[in-house]
Amino acid sequence: MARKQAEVGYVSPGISPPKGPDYIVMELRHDSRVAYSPTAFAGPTEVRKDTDALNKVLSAFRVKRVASHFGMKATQIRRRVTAAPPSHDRPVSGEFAHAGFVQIIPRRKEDLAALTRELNRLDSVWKAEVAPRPVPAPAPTGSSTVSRNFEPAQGYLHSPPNGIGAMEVWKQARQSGTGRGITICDIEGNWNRLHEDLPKRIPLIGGTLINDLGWKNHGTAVLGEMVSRPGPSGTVGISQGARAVVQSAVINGVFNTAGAIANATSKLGKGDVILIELQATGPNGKYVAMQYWDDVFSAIRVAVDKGITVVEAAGNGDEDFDLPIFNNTGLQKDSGAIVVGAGIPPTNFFDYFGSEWGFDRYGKIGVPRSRIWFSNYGKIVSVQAWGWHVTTTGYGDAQGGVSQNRWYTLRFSGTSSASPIVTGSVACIQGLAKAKHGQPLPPKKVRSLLISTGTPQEAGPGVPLSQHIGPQPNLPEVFRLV
Amino acid sequence: MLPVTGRKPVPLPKGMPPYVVVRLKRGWRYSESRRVCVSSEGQETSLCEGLPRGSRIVPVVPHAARADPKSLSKHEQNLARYMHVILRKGSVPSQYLGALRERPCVEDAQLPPEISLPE
Repeated sequence: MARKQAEVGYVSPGISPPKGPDYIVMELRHDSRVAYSPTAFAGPTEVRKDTDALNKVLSAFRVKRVASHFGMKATQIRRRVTAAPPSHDRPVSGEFAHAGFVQIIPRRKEDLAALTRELNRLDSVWKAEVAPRPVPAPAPTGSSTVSRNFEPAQGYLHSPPNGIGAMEVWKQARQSGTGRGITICDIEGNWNRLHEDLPKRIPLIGGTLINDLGWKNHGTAVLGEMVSRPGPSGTVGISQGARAVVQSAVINGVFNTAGAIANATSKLGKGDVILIELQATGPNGKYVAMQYWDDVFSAIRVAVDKGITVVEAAGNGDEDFDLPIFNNTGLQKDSGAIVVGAGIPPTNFFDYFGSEWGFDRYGKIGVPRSRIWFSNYGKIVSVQAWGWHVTTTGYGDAQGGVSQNRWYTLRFSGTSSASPIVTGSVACIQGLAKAKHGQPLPPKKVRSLLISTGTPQEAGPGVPLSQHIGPQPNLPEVFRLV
Repeated sequence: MLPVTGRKPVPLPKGMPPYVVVRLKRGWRYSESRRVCVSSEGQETSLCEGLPRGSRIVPVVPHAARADPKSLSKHEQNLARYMHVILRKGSVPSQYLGALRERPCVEDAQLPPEISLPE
């Protein structure tokens, strides 16, 4: 989808100056019985001296045109001659006053200053000045040194049932509720680790980066949901107190998801979290969760056995994991991972681009917290989170510009956007458990708490509850029980 | 176009070589130093035989493949059985599945999953 990237910071529409000649606005004295036509000044004999002086100046500067500044009719202008009061300070009608304002347009712009000076010397002139060129009040421009604050668009942080209640628990539990003391490892292919809103020096603990902007934006968006730093600009991560590390799934030049999980497992400890942000094509030609593959399943089991909570995207294949074709595969066995489906958020509308994938532009997506049409589903899917238009770092559709380090998006979607919401939630829970009890919870306990306290899944047209994606995390409820 | 964001799917990394995922039979291990598979009874067999010149065998989880199986958990032992057979560029991996499956040490050989991002 081609989307125009926004400029950095606030955007100026680029106002061009109005067209038209520069001119002088001259106000005649009220007591001057002078009238004017487009080419000359005129009046009764007794003001001949004044009209001659005015016309001499017009002639000297080869003035192009003389006109009423307020667009008065010739009759109204001529009335000045008879209606002029004996002195300038006497009250006059509005019509009379307006008739005394004259636009004088010289042929040459360079003559404006001298012509104004000459006019101001004349007895019949109250005041002459170059008309200002009006422009709209200047809007803040792209030179803004700080990024916009996107926190108001991060609805997933808000209280249940709409969000996961992250903001509530940060306030309740202070530092321990932000994932402090917990390390999160994101497994995919690339990240912009120089992004302004991410913690400095996020280490790559293994694998080689995939040199592609799509992969880089994706990883950046995932990290932003979890660990972007709080502050007056950008976004704020659910588990902003957690430490982040990243592991590429490419090892020895080929995809090796199991090897990536195993390497992360070797470098993490009890209470830490691994996020698997990948999917692959299954036997029906649809995307499925990575634990379908036996080596990945075993690698997850090893991590979970070590006390590491593994969060895994269910995938965007609209696939039913409970089909017979998946009997005896990882899609019908418990790896110990928290498998995450994508739900419809309460924001619940397509935007302008809705029609580009066959839906109504600005139409409703469906019932909030029902399965979004592309999410995989089944008994192993543990919980859901926002799978549509999550605001985070990267991509540049919300704030773009030359530097990728200042890019933000309002449109990160899929089980990709849902999984980091759950991962961040897990880090907050484990941070609290460590602070409160001196040790983290076993991974399966974290999962059962998320399921038992979560805001229930809803049914929607064409997406019954039997298409199971589980509830949405409710952090305040979990925190009450930890 | 992806159904979710309307974005184009992210491409696979450029220059990724073709490869096959092999699972060894229980009791077999791959010896990196000798580049052969060794059974618990001491039988040896080459995994590379019949593969294009320059093919490489890489354990999926090297530290599990090198460890004493007795020190590993059930799932770690399972991981130790997985190998990537990385073929020379331009090779067609599906052509080698049959030959690999016939090796005495191989339980299964599969094409790798087509991985993408769930965006």
